[in-house]
Amino acid sequence: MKLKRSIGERVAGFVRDWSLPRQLRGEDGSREAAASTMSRGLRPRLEQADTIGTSICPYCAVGCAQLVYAKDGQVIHVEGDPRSPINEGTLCPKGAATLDLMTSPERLTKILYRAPHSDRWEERPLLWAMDRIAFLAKRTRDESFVKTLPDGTPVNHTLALASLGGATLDNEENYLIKKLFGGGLGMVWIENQARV
Amino acid sequence: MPSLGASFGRGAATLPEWDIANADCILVMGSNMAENHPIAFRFALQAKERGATLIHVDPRFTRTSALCDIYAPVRPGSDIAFLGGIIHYILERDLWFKDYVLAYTNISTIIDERFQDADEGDGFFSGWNEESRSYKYDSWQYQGEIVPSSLAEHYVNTTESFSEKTKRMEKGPPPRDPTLQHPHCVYQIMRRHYARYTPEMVERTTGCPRDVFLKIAEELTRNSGRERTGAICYAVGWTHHTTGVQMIRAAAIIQGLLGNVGRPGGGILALRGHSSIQGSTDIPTLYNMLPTYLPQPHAYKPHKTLKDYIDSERTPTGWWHNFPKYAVSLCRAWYGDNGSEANGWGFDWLPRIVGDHSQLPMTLAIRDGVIRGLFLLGQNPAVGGHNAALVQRGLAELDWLVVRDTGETETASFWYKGRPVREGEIRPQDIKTEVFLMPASLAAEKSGTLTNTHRLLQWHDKVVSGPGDSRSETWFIFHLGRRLKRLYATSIDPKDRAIQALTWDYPVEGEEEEPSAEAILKEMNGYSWQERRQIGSFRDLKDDGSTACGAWLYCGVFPEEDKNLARARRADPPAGPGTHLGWGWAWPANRRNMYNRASADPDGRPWSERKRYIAWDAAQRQWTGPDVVDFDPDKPPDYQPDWAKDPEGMEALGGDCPFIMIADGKLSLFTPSGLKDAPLPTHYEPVESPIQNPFYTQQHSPTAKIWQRPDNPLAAPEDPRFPYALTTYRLTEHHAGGTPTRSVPVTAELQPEGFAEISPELAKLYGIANLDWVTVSTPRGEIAVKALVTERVRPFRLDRRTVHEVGLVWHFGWQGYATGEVANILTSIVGDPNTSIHEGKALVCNLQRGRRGEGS
Amino acid sequence: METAEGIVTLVQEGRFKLVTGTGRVMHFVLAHDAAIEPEDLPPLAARQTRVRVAYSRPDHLVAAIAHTLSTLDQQAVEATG
Repeated sequence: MKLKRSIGERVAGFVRDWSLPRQLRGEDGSREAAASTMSRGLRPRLEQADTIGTSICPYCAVGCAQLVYAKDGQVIHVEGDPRSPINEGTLCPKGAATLDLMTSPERLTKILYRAPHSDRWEERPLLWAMDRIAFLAKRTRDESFVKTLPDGTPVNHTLALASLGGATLDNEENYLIKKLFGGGLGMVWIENQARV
Repeated sequence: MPSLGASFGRGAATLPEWDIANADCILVMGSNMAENHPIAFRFALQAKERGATLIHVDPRFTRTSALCDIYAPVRPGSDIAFLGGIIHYILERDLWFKDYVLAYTNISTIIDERFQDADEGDGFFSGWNEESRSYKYDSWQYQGEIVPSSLAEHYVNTTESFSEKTKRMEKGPPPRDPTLQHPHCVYQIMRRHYARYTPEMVERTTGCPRDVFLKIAEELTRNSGRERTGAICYAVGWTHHTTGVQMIRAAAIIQGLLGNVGRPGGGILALRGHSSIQGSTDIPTLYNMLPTYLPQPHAYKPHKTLKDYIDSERTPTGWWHNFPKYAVSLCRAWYGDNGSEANGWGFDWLPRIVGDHSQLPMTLAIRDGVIRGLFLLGQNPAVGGHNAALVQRGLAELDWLVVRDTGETETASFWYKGRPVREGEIRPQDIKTEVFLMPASLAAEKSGTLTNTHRLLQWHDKVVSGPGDSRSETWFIFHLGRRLKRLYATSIDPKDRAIQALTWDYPVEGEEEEPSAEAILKEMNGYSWQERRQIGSFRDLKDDGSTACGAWLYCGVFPEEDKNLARARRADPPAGPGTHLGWGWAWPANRRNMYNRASADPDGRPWSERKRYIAWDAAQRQWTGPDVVDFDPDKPPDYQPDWAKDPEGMEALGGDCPFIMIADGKLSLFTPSGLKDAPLPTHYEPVESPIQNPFYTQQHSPTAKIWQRPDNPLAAPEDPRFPYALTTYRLTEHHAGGTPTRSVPVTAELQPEGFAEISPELAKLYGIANLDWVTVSTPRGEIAVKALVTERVRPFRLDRRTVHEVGLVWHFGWQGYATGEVANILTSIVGDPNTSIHEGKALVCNLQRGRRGEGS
Repeated sequence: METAEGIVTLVQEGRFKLVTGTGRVMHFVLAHDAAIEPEDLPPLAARQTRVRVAYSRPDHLVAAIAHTLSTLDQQAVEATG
């Protein structure tokens, strides 16, 4: 059903909210006369929240604490946690943009796949991509694994697989990366932004 | 950070951010703290309100400079000349904090008589091997003793036998001369080494006016002693040099000499750039370490078996004597019951490194086709990687590439939008790389811990799910691991035993089967193997397989079944004490100010009431104070080891040895082991420099890692084609490679495009007006940016000539709403010998008016 | 005119964000010729009404211009009044 106001309603609304006549009648332009139907109905966004969680700012390493408000599984507000001894409720321009980062129109929602020599992205199912990546990782590992150096020194590694990144990730994520890639697959090219 | 590790014992910030509010003097250098860590900078401003002096030393006048009491300009890459000048000032005017320094540092220790200083060697220390372009460290050791490093790699690579020589450390303390008269004691060596770092040389080398330098030296030394403390804050403005580790070392020496380490409002605050960059160093997605500073086994070191590994890496004295407990417990956590005493608890399955596998050589290995499959987990090297055109060409050599991020990064789109493609050098149909671009979750969309810049672990909740197919990295790695375990399940090839043996039974939650982050954190914390009971302290870890622990330094964060201390959210009230022990959990053992035994004098009394922190309570016979003591809690200050009994580990450290991770318990003013380039910071020019080194004939660090090849050309010193100093930097509105800010409308609007800052004097030479297009070039390539003509950038007046500077913002790329040419097209692949960190803060460039390709 | 369907999550005067069924977030600015007023938007966010937006996409804006909004849920109450 199309949402619509009649011309009459819109004109009446305009007349009702028009500030100038009210100011001429003596209402204060910075107080009563500045109010409108919209502004009278305004409530803090976080009043709507059904969930509040504590988070940590995803940008730099200062570690500012955040409060994240959600309604029906959608984030609606992010602010500095006033309890934190680090940020005491404040956030910098990046941290204050966390809500906009989470809800940026540029965020990916689907797996994009580019086949060899292709000139386009294609959407693919998540589980298909996982199977394909596992297959490729195994094939590359099996083709490149070195058990010992020519002099017999054991190395148990592959130099054909590499992983880069980690400084934006949780400790638990880094732990699993190092454990699987290093301790499981024998990868040695494992690096992150700590040197960048 | 090996510099802090080699000097103090642990490679991390010594004090919490909020403690700099208690400093009497703060030096910000190698950092634009107000711009890049603005929330932490509030504490510097609080200190200023209480009367502290704020000092900023930087190649550019920035937002930080504007809020400081003193600003000193220094030419990019000349920091050691400046800091060496401060050390010279302290030593020659006898302004060091003697009671602290004599007791707690190695200033009186006698160094091997074969040691020859760079002062005599014209830029080279003794032990130089021209063929291998590296040092042998024998002559840098303490007289008659080899000193194991406190860094992850304790094994000292010298010609002499490590194990035989080091046994002597249990026979007695290192040889010392408390009168400091011995010509080979550290004090005398330092005085000789820094003799030439005079205020005149500082001015000639850095361009900082002599009176400004002297004012800073006076402020730093005035705020030292029993009653006063000072802090130093740095960031990537120091690390991004081929001498970056030594710059931080110079700061560590200054803080040691001024007695500022381990005391309230004193120390060194490393300001790191990513939310978990400390965490990803502790839990290293780094090639050379296993979790929490155990060395990755190395094929060319005595690491063949677990026994070899332990024999060569366990230090006889100091905390690292506990090494075997941590190594065995890690293997237990990773390989479970598949490990046993017979197979070294699975140690044999760990991969061995064979050299430098860090990002710079990785970039070249990708370009050269050695690496065929690459996972990019929240990193964007097409923008952030040095010599970015080489990086982008390299990506086209891969068989496959997995990019996991929140948006389409420049790296993911290299095959149709990359510079080599746009410039017609290569076409998409010629690029074989199979590319997967996968949406990743952000902090509030998954649970887990982040470790901040002062070692504080803070838990974050999953509040909402990430959009669509977004998943956490725990999900991705866990489910990839499950698939690989299935694919390898039936293999009988010994090479596949490691993946088969890996423990991988984390409970999953919800429809998406997200692995439990708490379960992973509990494994990192450690538990008893049989009973599966959480362990409360790394003191309880064992080397007999009875405990499993994935990250020994994090032991204590999850000490009981339902007690996740990273979730703790109890800050102290305004009345104090202000250590906030109930807010999050800091490694090690929830200590907030490390080395805090040094906040008391050798007898265990506070240095002063004003700077009271930890002190010895003789009645209770324990150390007490508002922080967790960083020492054996009941070791009295007058304890001395009984050398007749060959004491090991902590027993060999006296009650006046606050630096317990170091083998002799003393702050290393002189570092005999652990660093590859120098035992004392020495000024070398950047690899690309507009001037000759004023100090020594040796131009740049002789050990700098230089990969000179046709696709990574370098400018020679004083190359007339590239006469200007170039430095790169960041903005408060953008984050690193820019993915999480350039794709966000509000931050993109605040800083919509890249630019270069140039001085009015340089602009005049070229007739450049503000906002004109300019082309900046180096031997690697050229980029076009808008000019920001500003007096914030000043020409440096050195003794023979004037050096102009170009400051370049580097966040930009072609994706998102705020775009610009990739600054790292200009940078080179050269690195610090210890860390392989690139030299992005000091290069040379040329400038042209107009936009490249427009023929102007 | 292109259309998108989803839930209005955030409203600020005439600007709003819409989350589609796949989790994609779209930014909109209410058009001058739209037949509703900015004050009609907060109730949509409060009630989580599923809506269809017909929009155009100017080159110079991150946001798209919402010309008409329609409710898709049967039980939806009229936003006006």
